[in-house]
Amino acid sequence: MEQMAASGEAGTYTLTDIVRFFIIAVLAVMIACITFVATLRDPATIAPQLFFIPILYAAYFYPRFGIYIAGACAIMYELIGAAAAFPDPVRAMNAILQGVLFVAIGSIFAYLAGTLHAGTEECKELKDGMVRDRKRRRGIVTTIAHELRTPLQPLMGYLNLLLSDPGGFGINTDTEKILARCLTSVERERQIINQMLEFSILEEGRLRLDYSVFSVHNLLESLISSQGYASDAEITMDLPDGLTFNADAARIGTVIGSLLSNAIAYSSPPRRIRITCVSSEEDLFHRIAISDNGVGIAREQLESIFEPFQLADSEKLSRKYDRIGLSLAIGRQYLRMHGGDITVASTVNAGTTFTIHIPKNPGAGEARR
Amino acid sequence: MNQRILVVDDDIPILEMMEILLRRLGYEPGIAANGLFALDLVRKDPPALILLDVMMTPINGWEFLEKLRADPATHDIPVLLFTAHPSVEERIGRMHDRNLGVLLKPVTLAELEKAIPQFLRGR
Repeated sequence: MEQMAASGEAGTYTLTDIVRFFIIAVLAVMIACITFVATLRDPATIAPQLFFIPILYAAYFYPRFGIYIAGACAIMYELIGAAAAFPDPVRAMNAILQGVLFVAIGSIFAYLAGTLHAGTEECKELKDGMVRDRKRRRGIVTTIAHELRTPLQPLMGYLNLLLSDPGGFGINTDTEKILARCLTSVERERQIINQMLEFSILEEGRLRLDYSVFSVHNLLESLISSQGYASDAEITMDLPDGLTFNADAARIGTVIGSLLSNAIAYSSPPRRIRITCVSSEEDLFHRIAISDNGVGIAREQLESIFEPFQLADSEKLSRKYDRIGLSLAIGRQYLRMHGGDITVASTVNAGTTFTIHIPKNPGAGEARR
Repeated sequence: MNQRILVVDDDIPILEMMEILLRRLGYEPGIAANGLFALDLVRKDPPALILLDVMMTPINGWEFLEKLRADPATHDIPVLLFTAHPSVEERIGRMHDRNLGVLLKPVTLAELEKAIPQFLRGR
């Protein structure tokens, strides 16, 4: 009873619980039928059959001891059966053989139940262990993020201050350049920490999307101007007038921003980036392709680039471009949370096209892409 | 007269830096390195805004906020939780306190310059 209560409290029954119930139910029906038939033929046999009930009870609720209880019941059964059959040797032998048969079945059942029970307990322990580890990891990630971010504040604050008025602080041009490079590094560090934290939050499923209808043109123009991408690349847009998405604008902005940033980072001047809408009116998804003329990605790496901390040609590129490979993993998670996705096509030394797929109607994300 | 902003943080380098930045932005900064001292300051001279760190001792930011909100004289002072702790946004979302916001560390001068008036206007 306690085990059943524990399973109920956990809220779910495992497959092994179901198998155990099934086995017990089948055996109980068998015993009931045998008992019924045997009783009809010889009412004296009913008492011995009833010994099976404690065997079943013991095997299910106390599987570790079930086999011993089965043995004790068998001994009592044989003694009673033999005594009841005395002095008829045939009936006594019949009772003994029946006892051996039932004990054999009961013992096998006790063994199976015990094995399944042990498996269930192991699964439960593994599951509890995973939950504990996840909680511990969450605590570690948030603590590390806090400890890494805090010292950046005075560093960033003072650098901002000095660079906001270099003349006022008596800083010459060369020193100003050095300080600006320091600030760039601090800013990069901040972004890396934020990305790692964001990924951790995404992995735990704690993020909630904030849907709104927004203009794609406005989003793209805002991204391009705020990040200064127009000065790094020639960016052309070929999108229907008045194109809007019904999605989380901030998250979609992060996804597109990452793709534009990657397009610029992984290409050399003259950089050309093209943003086009490749979906039709009948399509259930908006599909926006972002193409560049950069270094491209080898075919064998096309799938792994969406895995966290994976960079295409990581040995060469990660050090050069100072990236940790989380933006695509995060971007894909955001899109999948919307019911969409991201795909990639690429040719080495020619360029790459990332296509984002966003459902036109939220909730229609299970539609065929 | 410049608006008075009180910064409450047990990290002295951050306190010193925020004092300079806020003065630069045209505010009158006050600083307190612990929550109990800060509560005294607030009761004597309520500021226009409190920038409040969360992880502090002897009382943390949440305990400070509870005491602040419990006092009728200080209950509606706007507070920006100024923290590097990522779970704070989630928690304040559940609190429905219109006088409570969050600013995640590290924050740039430009972000601070934009966030403070925006928060004070949006209440």
